[in-house]
Amino acid sequence: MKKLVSLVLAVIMVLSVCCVAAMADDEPITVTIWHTRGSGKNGDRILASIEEFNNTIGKEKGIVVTESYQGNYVNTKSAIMNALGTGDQDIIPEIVVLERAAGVPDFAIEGKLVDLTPYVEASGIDMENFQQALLGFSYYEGELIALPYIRSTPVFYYNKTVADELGLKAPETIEDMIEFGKKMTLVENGETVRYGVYMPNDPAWFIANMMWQMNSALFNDEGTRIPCLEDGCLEKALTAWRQWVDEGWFAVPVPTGVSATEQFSLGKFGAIFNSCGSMANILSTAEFEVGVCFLPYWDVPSAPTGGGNIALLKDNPQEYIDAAWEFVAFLMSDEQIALEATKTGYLPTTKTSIETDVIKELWAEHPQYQVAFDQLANGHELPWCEFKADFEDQMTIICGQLIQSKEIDVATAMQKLNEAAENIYMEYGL
Amino acid sequence: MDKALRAEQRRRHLRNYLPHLPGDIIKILAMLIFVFPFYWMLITAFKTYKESIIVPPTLLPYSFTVDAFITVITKLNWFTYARNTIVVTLSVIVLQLLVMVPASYAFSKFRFYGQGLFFGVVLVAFMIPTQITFITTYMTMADWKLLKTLWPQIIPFGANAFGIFLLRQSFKQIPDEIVESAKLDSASELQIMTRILLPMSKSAMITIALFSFVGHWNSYFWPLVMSITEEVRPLTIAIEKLKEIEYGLQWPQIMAGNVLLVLPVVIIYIFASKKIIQAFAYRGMK
Repeated sequence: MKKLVSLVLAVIMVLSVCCVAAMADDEPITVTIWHTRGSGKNGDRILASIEEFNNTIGKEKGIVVTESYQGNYVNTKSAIMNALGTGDQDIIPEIVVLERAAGVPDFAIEGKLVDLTPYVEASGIDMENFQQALLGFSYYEGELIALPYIRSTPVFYYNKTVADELGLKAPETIEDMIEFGKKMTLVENGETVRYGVYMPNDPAWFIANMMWQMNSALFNDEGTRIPCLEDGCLEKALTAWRQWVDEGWFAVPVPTGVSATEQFSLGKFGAIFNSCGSMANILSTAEFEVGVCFLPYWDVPSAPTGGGNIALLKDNPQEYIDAAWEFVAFLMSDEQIALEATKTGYLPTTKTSIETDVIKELWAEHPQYQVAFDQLANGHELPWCEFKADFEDQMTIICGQLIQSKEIDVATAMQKLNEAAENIYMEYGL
Repeated sequence: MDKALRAEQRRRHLRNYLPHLPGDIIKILAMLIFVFPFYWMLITAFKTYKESIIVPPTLLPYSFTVDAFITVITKLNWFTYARNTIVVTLSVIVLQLLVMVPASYAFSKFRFYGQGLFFGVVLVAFMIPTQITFITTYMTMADWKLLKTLWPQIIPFGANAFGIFLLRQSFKQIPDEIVESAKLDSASELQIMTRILLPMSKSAMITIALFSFVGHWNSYFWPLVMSITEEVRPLTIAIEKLKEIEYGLQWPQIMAGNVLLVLPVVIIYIFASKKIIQAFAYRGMK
């Protein structure tokens, strides 16, 4: 009897070990994406992508994707740095969304991003299919370290209803914009009830873009100098900006946190420079016909890009990286890119995605979305520059003093900018 | 005659009141200044998005709607965040009480070697901001494999230096004779703490508990750093998610989220206000 009981127990033990081993083999690999997409349409989109992947490709290949919102780009970058500091693979996410210029370079320089080249080649993804203007921060030292994901570009929104009433066409050049802005401005009883044009105090986008339009640049290709300080183009742009504001038709940038898109939707501004990411909100809120056109240009057309790229972190086991790539490849499909563009205001990042019925229907119903995409033909990207954030912070402060509080004039602003540049060159040994 | 008397009484009453009028006007204005942001938060939560951005703003919603609340609760997994906030806040308060009361008793009623030094360390800890300690704490919690749990939001706040300081001062005001007479009656240290010192320090205890409750209920920075998964995030992070910058700030939803965040604090105050006032009035010497 005792021998029989022992035998039965031994068989049970062996079977349980086999079952556990079998279960371990069948357990899916769970990968996590840390992202900046909060709630609303933005958050809903990533959740929908994850759910679709988990129910299709994920189920087939034994991969489960989970997500964790980490806040804005700055907070997400800090969270990733903290996680990498632990060295704990249980904490470090496999997939991350990084701001393309302020996030990707920092991790690429530290060698923390996976080279996606073999994955892209194996998956048959054609890098030529991507909008080339969106690939500026995708390569580092010959490696493909990030792919365009939630990308945007600023466009010129205008109140088409009022413009049509006034017989105005969408402006193309800066001179057109000046005439447009002056005519769109409405003053009643000595008070400006509608400013002609509004541009945020965001020099990293708008002033940098004006430099390209003047055949200059905010940073040189090597990322070591600020050419527009020396060739007079920045001074020309700031002088014009201040003059437009002083003339009363160009609105003073509102303080941080107050949405210019709201004021535009209420008809307080005749036109605004703003991200295409705001397109859905503006089109649904404005009670007039909204026109969208390319950013008015000085000498040559140009448009900056912005937004986030998607990358994989190296500090993870290889099989987890491989699994994470499956989700990234899924996100890079035309269908997902098209859904991304229709549900949010982000750009279709590939050329073939615009051939999908989803995009065609969107553009047919709202041709404004197509303008943002077409503008990418004039797209420009900043070079990799170590001191980019430092100088842009200074520009924002000094432009605020010049345009918002008007406590300094253009000459003083240029002097301060030059001093800031010299300090930065010294600090970075340039 | 009666009418004349009543009129005279009214005039006298008014004359007596007039000197107080400026003070009452200032109080009403101060009340409006403090209350108006909450009022604005509440009415905006019941507006549509379009009404929430019109200028001039409306002081009462044209179209009263609860859509924002429904969106916030259904889309944001609200109950998970609320559960986490409640668990963390209550756990912190309980843990702090368990640590603070014996520590304050020891600092106030005992003499031991290094007492001054230890109390000085407590005061120094009081002055160190959490932003300085979060990196090392994060690494420690990572080593202990706790980052996917609620413990990183609880353990670091187990001791409340401000609470120890305040409670020590409160215990010091209780005459030593009361403690000695309790010891003569064979009371244990635990009985002395819980049956003599604590009831006589209700005002300090309630103050500490309230500060701790409000501070941890509204905590944002620490949970943001210490929580890496949605399952352990509190309400304050949920509200951060509502700020969809590119799509546009959905003010009704943001305000609805804030109403839901603030509501428990307001409810607790309403129900506990009498107790709070009674506790401050209690002196214990009879």
